[in-house]
Amino acid sequence: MEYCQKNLEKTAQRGEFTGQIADQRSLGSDHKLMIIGLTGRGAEIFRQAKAGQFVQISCGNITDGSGINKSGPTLLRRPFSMAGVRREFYRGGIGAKREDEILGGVQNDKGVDQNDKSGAQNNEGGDEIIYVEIIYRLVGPGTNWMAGRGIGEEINLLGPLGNGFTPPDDRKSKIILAGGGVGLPPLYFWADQLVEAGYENVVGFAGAQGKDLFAGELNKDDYDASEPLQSQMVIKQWARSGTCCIAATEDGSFGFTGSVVEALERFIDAHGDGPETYLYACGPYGMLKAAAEAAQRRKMVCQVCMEAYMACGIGVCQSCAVLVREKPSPASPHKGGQGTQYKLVCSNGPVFDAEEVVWELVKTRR
Amino acid sequence: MNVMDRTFEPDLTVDLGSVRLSNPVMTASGTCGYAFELGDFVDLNRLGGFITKSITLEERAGNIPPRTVETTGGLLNSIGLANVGLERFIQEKVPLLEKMTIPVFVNVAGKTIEEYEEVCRRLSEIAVIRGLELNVSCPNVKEGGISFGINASATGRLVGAVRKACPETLLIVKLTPNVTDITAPARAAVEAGADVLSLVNTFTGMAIDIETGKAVLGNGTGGLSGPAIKPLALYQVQRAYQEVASPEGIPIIGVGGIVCAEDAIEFIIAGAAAAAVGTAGMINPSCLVKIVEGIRQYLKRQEIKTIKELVGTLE
Ligand SMILES: Cc1cc2nc3c(=O)[nH]c(=O)nc-3n(C[C@H](O)[C@H](O)[C@H](O)COP(=O)(O)OP(=O)(O)OC[C@H]3O[C@@H](n4cnc5c(N)ncnc54)[C@H](O)[C@@H]3O)c2cc1C
Ligand SMILES: Cc1cc2nc3c(=O)[nH]c(=O)nc-3n(C[C@H](O)[C@H](O)[C@H](O)COP(=O)(O)O)c2cc1C
Ligand code: FES
Repeated sequence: MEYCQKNLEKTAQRGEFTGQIADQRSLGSDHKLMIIGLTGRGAEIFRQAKAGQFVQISCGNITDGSGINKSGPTLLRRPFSMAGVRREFYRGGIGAKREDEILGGVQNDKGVDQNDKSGAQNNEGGDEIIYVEIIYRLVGPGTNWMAGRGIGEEINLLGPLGNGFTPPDDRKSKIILAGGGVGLPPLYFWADQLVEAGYENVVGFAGAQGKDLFAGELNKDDYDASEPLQSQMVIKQWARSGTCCIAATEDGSFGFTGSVVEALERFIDAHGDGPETYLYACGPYGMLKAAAEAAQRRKMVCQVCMEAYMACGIGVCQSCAVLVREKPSPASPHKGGQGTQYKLVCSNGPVFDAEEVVWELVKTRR
Repeated sequence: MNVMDRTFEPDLTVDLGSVRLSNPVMTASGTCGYAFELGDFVDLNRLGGFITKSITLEERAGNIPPRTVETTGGLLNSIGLANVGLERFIQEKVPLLEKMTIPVFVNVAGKTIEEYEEVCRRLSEIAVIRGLELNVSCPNVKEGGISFGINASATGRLVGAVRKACPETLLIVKLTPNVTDITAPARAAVEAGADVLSLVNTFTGMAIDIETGKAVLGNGTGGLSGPAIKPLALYQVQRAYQEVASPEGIPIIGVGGIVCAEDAIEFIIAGAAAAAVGTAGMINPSCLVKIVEGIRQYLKRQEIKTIKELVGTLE
């Protein structure tokens, strides 16, 4: 049956797409990396994706029109940041050779946008495959459903959603990327894009509870454990853009002992950075709040990529409201109390200026 | 008629009072935004009708987050009627609605009868708006209309007042299922001048975080939607149809847990003239057009010439 929606705006920057899993493997004890190949209009749109944007993955297609009996375990889609979007496909991180057989394995007729089956032929360069990388932690039914999918299986997603990070004007600016837990993945993508655009001064900070719990692949062999606050090529997803980083674990099993924000502050103290430094942070609420406070003390420009419990992810349900300071504007949007208003993480964010967020009042479920 | 006859095209048109829809599938209020928010994911102009989220006189920030949580087969929400308010709706959203080629209905909520009257009067003057759906049933704000909806005589007073304020406007009254007998408010609404009934809104429910011992939703309780409520909603539609709508000749918009064409067809057999899709459409917008197509295929397969023949055929 043909559900071709001819009237859909061809200029749309997002949509519903079905891709194919090109790779899926474990990272440490709790995380997995999934690479989804998209072709046709999906490839066309996703090649313009921005770091900080996310996708809403259907974990079982309860509402795909085939009815609940054939469905999987979750009703809502699950949101995931993009850890990378690339045209080539490499297995095994940096230095690995291109996997042509995997490229051939993603069939064009399977991976096309299901909204527009004619899209692949109409596109010039319609054979292009764009690979979207997701790094996720297994926490519940949705992520376990994803973990059970094999190479070649289909993944339906909405995206790219939300707004990405904004880079500094000056390509020589000092840039710090600080990620904790599942907040790390979008910062790999951001490093790819910053370095590609010619930013020269990017350093990463990666936090996890313990050494097997990084949302990324550690380059343990070359790691100099005697210098935990020395930036090193330690996480492969950053190393692919040549981005060095400092790793921190809560339990001290790898890198600096303590939180990622503590590591960052020590590093800044040692290097005398501060004003003119741009801090991009993504992670759990407590970490973002600490990062925002550190940035304020040191007069750094800080953008945070936030999480919220989402139902739709596309701005229609108003689930993902976060309280922000009201900017003095005549058309007062939704008031949320004294000088504050709600914004939607899924469509006004997930990236916000740290000083905009009313940190004391952010409500989280975790 | 021969099934193999390829020229056989079933008639999907539906009449909601004076407004004709090209097919029975509509968006449900609050799950599809104000206008084209789902437009990147589905061609809304292929649906039968569009119902906006609830509009109130003043803009509303909505409830304290978390505002939604998934439960088994369902979604609990306590959004709290967050919306831009009447003035901004007219200024910012109506121009977008004017680009829609399908009939547009605006859902209205309020604290007092006067508020409903004022909002409805203003909206009824706008040409693109083909009808108003009165939300007398939001469970998530104290004054969001549910106090009207759970009380048949209050429902009647509210509908009567709006009927008087907008004598020419198509009035849809959206009922709450949080009552012991759905036929009482249904009858009151019809007697007071409702042209169409729409049911159901969400069922009041809650979820508890056993680690903290607190309710998961910031508001404590919320409204349950999605596949989990479909059998409950279907029953209420069937009751309202048998007892009130069928004898009075009033069409029903069936809502609650529809995720596929088969679900929508069940509602139609139970007595709904049209079917509105909420939760499923915001998770998987493309399912909206798949439901239209699925209904068309079903009619072909069953050799039913017009969808109207199917309404209320429950044996
Ligand atoms: C914009 C955004 C980007 C994200 N990026 C990533 C990512 O790159 N990698 C990754 O592993 N995770 C990411 N997450 C979190 C991820 O969406 C949740 O872990 C996932 O939805 C859990 O689904 P589940 O069914 O496995 O578990 P569930 O049973 O649904 O949840 C398990 C736990 O996760 C919490 N949770 C569920 N959904 C969310 C949510 N939307 N936001 C915050 N907490 C939630 C629940 O409260 C619960 O404690 C992101 C979330 C958002 C909003
Ligand atoms: C997130 C959300 C917001 C809703 N907002 C409104 C609203 O503003 N007004 C209204 O009348 N109903 C609202 N509803 C109820 C739906 O219109 C519908 O009646 C209900 O969800 C049952 O249908 P479903 O199971 O298909 O979602 C909302 C439902 C959800 C899930
Ligand atoms: S998740 Fe629905 S509006 Fe953001």
